[in-house]
Amino acid sequence: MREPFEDRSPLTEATFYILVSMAVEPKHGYAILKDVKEVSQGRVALSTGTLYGVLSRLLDQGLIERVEEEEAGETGRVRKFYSLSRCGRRRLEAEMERMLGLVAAAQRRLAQSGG
Amino acid sequence: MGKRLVGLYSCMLAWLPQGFREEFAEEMMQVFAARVREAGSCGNREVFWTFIKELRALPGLWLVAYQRERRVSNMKTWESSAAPDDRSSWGAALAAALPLVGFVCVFAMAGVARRLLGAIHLEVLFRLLWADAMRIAVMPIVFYLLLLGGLLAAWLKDFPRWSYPYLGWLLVFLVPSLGSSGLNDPTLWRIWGPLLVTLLLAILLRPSLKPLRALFHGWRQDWTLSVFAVLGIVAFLNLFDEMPGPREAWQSLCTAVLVVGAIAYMRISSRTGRVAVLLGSMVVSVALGAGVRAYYWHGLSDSVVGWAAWFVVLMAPALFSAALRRLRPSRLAGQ
Repeated sequence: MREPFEDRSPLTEATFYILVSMAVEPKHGYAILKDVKEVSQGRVALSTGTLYGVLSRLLDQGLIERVEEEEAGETGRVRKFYSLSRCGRRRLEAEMERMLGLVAAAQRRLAQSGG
Repeated sequence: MGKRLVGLYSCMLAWLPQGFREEFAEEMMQVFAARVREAGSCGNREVFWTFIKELRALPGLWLVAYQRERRVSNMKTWESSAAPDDRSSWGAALAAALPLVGFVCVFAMAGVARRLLGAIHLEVLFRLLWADAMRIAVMPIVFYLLLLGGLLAAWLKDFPRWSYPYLGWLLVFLVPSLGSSGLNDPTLWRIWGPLLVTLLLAILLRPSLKPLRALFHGWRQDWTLSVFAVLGIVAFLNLFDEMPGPREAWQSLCTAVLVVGAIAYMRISSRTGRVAVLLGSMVVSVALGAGVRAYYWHGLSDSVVGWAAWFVVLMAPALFSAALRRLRPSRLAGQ
């Protein structure tokens, strides 16, 4: 089986928050939307179209997976849940390291100029 | 208002490509409906703005979805196109051999027709209709139609493995000096018009670059296909029109050897075996042709250097492709 393509380019803000949102437990689409808004403190309000565009790409890249389908109570509707794959977790951690590196570099430079 | 907007949103999702729609549209509808319900608690104005925000995201989504659909479709094409180590069906093997069989038939029929029409003096009529005799015009046209039909089918089916001998024949028409007799100069130009019409028809029936991509991918994936394409040209190079009498029989025999090679190539699964039957059939066919010529001219008339040069030219794409495949892994390993 082909290995998922290891993309090292920086994640967009929306993609980053979507991955963060799935870090704790699998979530369905609407829960991801709400969680992203909450985690970003209202700064990132995703639309349905943007969310599913990102989800389809993350699925193709193997960064997330559909974990289960569950009937939602009386309606009998099927809900699909999404969770971080192992590869997705590594990608998220790598992105955090990259961001921490950026922040550390900026802090060092600011400390020099301030001193 | 909410229900109407959900219905409207559903209509807009119908514009998404089929694959994406089947995978995500239902979920998107559920999420959109939930968002509208949530916004509804703050009044119609909030519902309206939620709808506008969702609308703004749709063009971007369409773009993403169509790119994804194209990517998935390309991958399917590549996976279904000539896998190097798969054995083809008998149907595909016969389709591959058809242009060579057609070539044999042209000779057999041309011989019969010449004698028949010569006997009843109808040849004059054909001489009036065509600049050349029936022997070098009408029969080859039947053969051209077979080739063009094959090329059209090959385009529609993304150039599967069986189509390569048809492509090899195209080289005969692209390089007129390849012809040595029979189908050469007087008739070669006649293919250009029908070839152009076939190309236009193919583009009309399937206006896509996918067939060309599949052709290129097939060639890159399996370099033996380049050797396979050359079979038709070998049949053409074997043409010899000097000797009267049993010429058609000898010509048919030379080509029949190539037919066996083509069918064996399609039915054998190992790459080494394929190349062996191809080269074997070419060598036997050329040796037979050279033998007949030597008998007629009382000695070998063809330049050995000339034949060797043709062989290198015809094998160049295969050698180039094989060299690329050998170089690439070592280069990657060196990185």
